[in-house]
Amino acid sequence: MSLDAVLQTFYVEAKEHLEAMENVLLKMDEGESDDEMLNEIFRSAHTIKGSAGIFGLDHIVNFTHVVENVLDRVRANEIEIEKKLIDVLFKCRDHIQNLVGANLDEFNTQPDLQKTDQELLETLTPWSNEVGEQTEQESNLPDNNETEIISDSETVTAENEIEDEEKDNLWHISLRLSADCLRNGMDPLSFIKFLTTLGEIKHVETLIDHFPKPEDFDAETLYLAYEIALQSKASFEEIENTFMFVQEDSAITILPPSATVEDYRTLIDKLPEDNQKIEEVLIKCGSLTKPLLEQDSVPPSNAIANNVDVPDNVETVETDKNKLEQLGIESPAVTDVAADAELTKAKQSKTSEGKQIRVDSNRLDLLINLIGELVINQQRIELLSKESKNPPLTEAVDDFENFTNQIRDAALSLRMVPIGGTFQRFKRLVRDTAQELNKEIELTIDGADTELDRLMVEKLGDPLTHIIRNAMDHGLESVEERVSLGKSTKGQLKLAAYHEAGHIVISISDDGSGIDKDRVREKAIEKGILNNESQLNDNELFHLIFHPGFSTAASVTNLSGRGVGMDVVKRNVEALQGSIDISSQAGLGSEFKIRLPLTLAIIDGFHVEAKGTHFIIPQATIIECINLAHHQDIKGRHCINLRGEMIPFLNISEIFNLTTNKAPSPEESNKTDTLKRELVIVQFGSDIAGIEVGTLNGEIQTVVKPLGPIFRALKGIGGSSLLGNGEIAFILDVPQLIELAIEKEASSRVTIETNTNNLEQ
Amino acid sequence: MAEIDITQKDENISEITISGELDIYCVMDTYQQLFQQLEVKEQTLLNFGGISEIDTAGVQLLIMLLKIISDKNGTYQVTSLGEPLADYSNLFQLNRYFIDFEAINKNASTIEESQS
Repeated sequence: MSLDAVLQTFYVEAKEHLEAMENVLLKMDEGESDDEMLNEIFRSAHTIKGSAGIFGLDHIVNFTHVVENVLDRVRANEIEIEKKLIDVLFKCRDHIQNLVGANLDEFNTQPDLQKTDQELLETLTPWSNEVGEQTEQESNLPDNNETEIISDSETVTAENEIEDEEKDNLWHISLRLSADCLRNGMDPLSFIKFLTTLGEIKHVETLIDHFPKPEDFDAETLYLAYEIALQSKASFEEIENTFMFVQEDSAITILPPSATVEDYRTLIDKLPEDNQKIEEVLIKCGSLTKPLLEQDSVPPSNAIANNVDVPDNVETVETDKNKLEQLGIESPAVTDVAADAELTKAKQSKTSEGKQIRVDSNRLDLLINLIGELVINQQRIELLSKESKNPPLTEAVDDFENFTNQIRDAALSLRMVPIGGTFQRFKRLVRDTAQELNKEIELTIDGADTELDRLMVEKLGDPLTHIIRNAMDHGLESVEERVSLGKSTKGQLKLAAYHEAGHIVISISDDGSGIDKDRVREKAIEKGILNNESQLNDNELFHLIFHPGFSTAASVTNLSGRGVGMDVVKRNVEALQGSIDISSQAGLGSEFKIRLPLTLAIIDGFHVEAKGTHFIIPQATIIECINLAHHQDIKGRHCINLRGEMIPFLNISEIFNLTTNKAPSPEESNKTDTLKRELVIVQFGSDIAGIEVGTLNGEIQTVVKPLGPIFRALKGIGGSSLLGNGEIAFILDVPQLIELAIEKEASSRVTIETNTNNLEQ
Repeated sequence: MAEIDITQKDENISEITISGELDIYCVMDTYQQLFQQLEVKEQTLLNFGGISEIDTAGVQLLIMLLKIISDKNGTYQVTSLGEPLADYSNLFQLNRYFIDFEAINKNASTIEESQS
């Protein structure tokens, strides 16, 4: 494994831990707090610190160490988790994120980063240990006016107590690291340096017994071994985590302060070096004394007594039970219960860990592409099998289609991610923005489990941020204003996601002042977008805010008001084949609804033809198909009467100026035009329209190939696809076509009304 | 990249000067260069004062050098340690080799004697 790959893993995992920290802090900010949350946030900081230490990222280690210290004090109930501390921890979390984004050299050359570092460390001092200990020491010092006489025996007692305490915290670590350690970018020096952050290295013995002959020496292979005496109050887990990146292929033994002589004997026997040599090394380290080694009255440890194989890698040594047995005290029952609970928890976490796997997104994209090709080829085979009129072959191809569909659905589901992750990020945004604006705002999230294509999730972040910022800045009123209007002091902002008719709908709503229609109209006229006589309905009026440079904000804040946000929002949404609707009521609030297709990769489509050109209509948008031969055209109008409802429609051949590109067959030329008029009724949101085509060819799976940038301005076409016979089919953009159909019908209605009026006059 | 300079001080004394960065990125080449050029005399003076940066791979290489000298019945003396190597040596208890010039193969020979 190369160093770069491991470092990338560090960055990815650090990002996850920082997200976890933020989520916990947000919950704490809302008043929640329990032991599990405190442990979680502590673990996140601790893991980032540990991993950074492995890579020598001292700037991260040094800062995170102080934060970890404060969090440790919180979870030990030494200090309380108060609002002020939470605010500081948020800033610390952000700073760690910045530190992770910079290597040590970059940190040393960025004065701003160093300044923030220093300022935050100073801000943390009221809560961190260093001041606490200092204060304790100061309070223990005698007053200047008093003299305290400390007797010699008291001094000796104090010294003995310190010695005992040191011995109590003395760990012994035996390192026989993998020979490829250095080659893989893991320098033992980093681990030793990191151990100094956990405590004090009392002694390190470097063993040089395993060097080969000079001609066999490989300068990149590790031949050194280490025996380390570490004085530390850290837990076994914390010390063990120091070596997490090198545990594989290494023999690492950690003996706790309570290890018995037998445990050391086991270690001595296990190590490859001569026993006498190792004994001398252990004595030099101070982990053992000669008298202790020579005594043989201590009963054997459980491991030896039960003939349990001691594994070569990191091992734990259960010694408390031994000690208790020696004293004739039964182990307390609660220990077994607690142990069972821990075991269950460990099993559960292992199970949940086993259910997830990290996959390179490029590999996922490759898989989807290949499945797309599989779908196209499956359609080719299907066509050929139909032509062959071979029933066994047709049946086999049907089965093949069935499995292809299942593979397709399974593969597409890999791309789907819950939108909850994106929504969760906005909690922090809302919190910070509300503070900045001095408003009280509560964010509610609904439908966080709703899944959509991961590409969309990535691209939705910016549009949603713009809309939310606008809602907070311009929509939601200040506390005073809300009180005067009889509203609750807290403005309500809601993010919701749900499925509707083969699409995903994301709604952002607030209970603010709503969009001022008169102001929008006034601004539109001022900017020349509208003239005074223009008559627009509410939806059309609201859509004016998507016009570039349009803003009704009286003042520009650093959040919004420049008019550069909403046009970008619309473009980004349309780029995802989606649409955006606005509804608003003055004084009550607004709602922005973004509609998006479920996936951009492979869709279920309906194959149609018009004058020899192939089109595909997304099946999720189709309500029904009717033969126009059985319906009467309403003269001059582009609509039909369907069961009492007027449905506007458009002719696809006219819209795209299609001409027949091949001579019709004799059968085709004998058919009347009316028999070739099929109407596909489609719906998008609350709008319904019809698309007139020539032939209906049935359902088809479609691998969506996006159109190139040169076709971006093309309305009505959302992509292309390859049919089984090798021909190209255009995927219709139903929302755009519905809009066009409605516009055409509206303009033809106006024309007829005008003509009628003229005739009457 | 480390630089190696081997000079003949006397008929029986040679001096090896290693300077620059001695780390995992260059140890392979440095060792090959050293191994090819090395001619162990009765006494070898070792000047490591110019080593600007060193890691475990670099220290290993130096230890190997000391072993080669010892194996060929030569003696060595480190005339200059330099700060990076001194720090490493202090931390990892290697002063007995670099400063006290304890025989680097002493332990191995003691064990062989005891086993025979």
